[in-house]
Amino acid sequence: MRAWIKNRNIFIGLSITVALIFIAAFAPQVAPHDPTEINPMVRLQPPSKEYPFGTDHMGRCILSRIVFGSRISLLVGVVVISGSLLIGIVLGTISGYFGGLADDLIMRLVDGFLAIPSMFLALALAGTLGPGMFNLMMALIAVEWTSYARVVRGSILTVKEQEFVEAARGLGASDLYILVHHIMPNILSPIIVIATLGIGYAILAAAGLSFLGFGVQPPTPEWGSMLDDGRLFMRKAPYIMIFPGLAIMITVLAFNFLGDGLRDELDPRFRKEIPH
Amino acid sequence: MLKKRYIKAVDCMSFRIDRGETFGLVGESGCGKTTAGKLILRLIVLTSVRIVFDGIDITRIKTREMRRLRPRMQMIFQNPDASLDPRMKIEKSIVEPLRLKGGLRRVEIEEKVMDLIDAVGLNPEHARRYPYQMSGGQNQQAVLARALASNPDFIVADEPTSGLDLSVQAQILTLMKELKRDLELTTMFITHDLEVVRQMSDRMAVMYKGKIVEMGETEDIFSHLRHPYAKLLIAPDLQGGCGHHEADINGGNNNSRGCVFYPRCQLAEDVCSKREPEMMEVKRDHQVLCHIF
Repeated sequence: MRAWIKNRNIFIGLSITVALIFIAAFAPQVAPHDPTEINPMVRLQPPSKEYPFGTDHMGRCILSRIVFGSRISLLVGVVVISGSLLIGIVLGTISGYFGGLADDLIMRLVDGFLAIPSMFLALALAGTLGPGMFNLMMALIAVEWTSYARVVRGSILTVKEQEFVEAARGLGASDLYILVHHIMPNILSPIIVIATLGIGYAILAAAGLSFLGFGVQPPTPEWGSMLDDGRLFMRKAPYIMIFPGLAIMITVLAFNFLGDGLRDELDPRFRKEIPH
Repeated sequence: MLKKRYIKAVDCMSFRIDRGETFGLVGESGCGKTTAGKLILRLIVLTSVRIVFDGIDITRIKTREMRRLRPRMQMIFQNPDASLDPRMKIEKSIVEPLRLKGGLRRVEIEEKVMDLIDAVGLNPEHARRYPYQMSGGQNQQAVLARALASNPDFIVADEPTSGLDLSVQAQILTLMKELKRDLELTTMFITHDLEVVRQMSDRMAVMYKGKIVEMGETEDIFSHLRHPYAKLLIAPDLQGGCGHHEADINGGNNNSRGCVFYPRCQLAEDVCSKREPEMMEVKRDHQVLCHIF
């Protein structure tokens, strides 16, 4: 654990993530204003002492909306990626490790999902399920799991043919033991990389769906919908878009740093330690 | 339209390995030595085969029973760097067979690991290293320690010295000899190095295109070569300067009638192309697969 903290990427990523979680958890204490309070008198105000990130077209404090929006954006990112990972790992593992009919069936199902552009599919599913944050997350999970299943399957196909897996089988290890102790640790790197990148995608996709009315409903603050709100005032008040955009960028960067660091620490070949 | 083609990697092989014996299996690359070794341990899918280990027909037992039997039969793979999990420290790799076998307390496991590390000539500090931090020879020593961890009765050593330099090769072979003597191991030693097989094995077999073509006591085979292929492989000078050929594994004729070595045999007769030879005992415990004898 101490070595993990010493890793610069993990340290930066973890620090920002912990800070974001703290902000989300204590949003009412951190935010200077009510995020939903409309005040036409101060609409489109540039950043000032009173409103550090300015105000939007309805006179709402952008900083307060970003602080409260972190709750939803972080939740959507983490839940969508966790759900997609879970389904992708289970189905990808069955497909890649056991092969045969299960592999054919799962991969044809994946092909079916991939044949439809992901945003259209997410729209169709969100439309069918109805508006709301839970349905939005379900729709995104249904779209996202396919890429994880493919990456997991491909990685397993490579690793399972390696001699150390055969050696473990020769020792009397069961399939479950081999999967948990030998295959999973060796396929973690690509999974961590796509999962950390996926969090950013999930936040943006949720924003897109929210903008179309399928996700979080106004006036609840959410980073993606804040970006969309600011689109119309991009020239007059660019800060409406800049600050939520920065929030998304910092969050995505934090998870990317964390992912890179974890990948390095979990793979001894990338570690910067020299044997004595 | 697209018909699957099969190549018989191992065909009609029959041999026994006595307890405490080292049996050498020699042949050129691609002749099926490794496949034979893996078959014996049921590491690859069996088609039609019968393997009896200590009175148990392991081809008829269930996977679960086979798993229980596995600690008694181990394999040392050709590439030591690849046969150790790159994400596991050497210590963990050696602990693994002990954990899988069960029945030992943590303290006992730790003691046993240190004993094994010492027995194969590694230092305790090597236990905390990853395979990429070790040399090929050290990794092979670690693989040996892991193979010995479950107190096996039988070990298949698949070219354990092939990727190592000469001094390390000698070190590993000496170590294997000492371990065999001390632990009374039964070993099947797969190699294409004739000097190694002569040095290590009590009995040996020469393989060609998936078949054993000559088998017997090692010294007897080296001094009384019979099969034309064995002569070509072991003593090319006897073939009038005919050199060693690479095995033609793709254009193999082992699905056709006749002797597998017929197309390359200088002593071939009519019968060799028409009928497959049967294993003949030319003297006590010395068999040859050839029509000529």
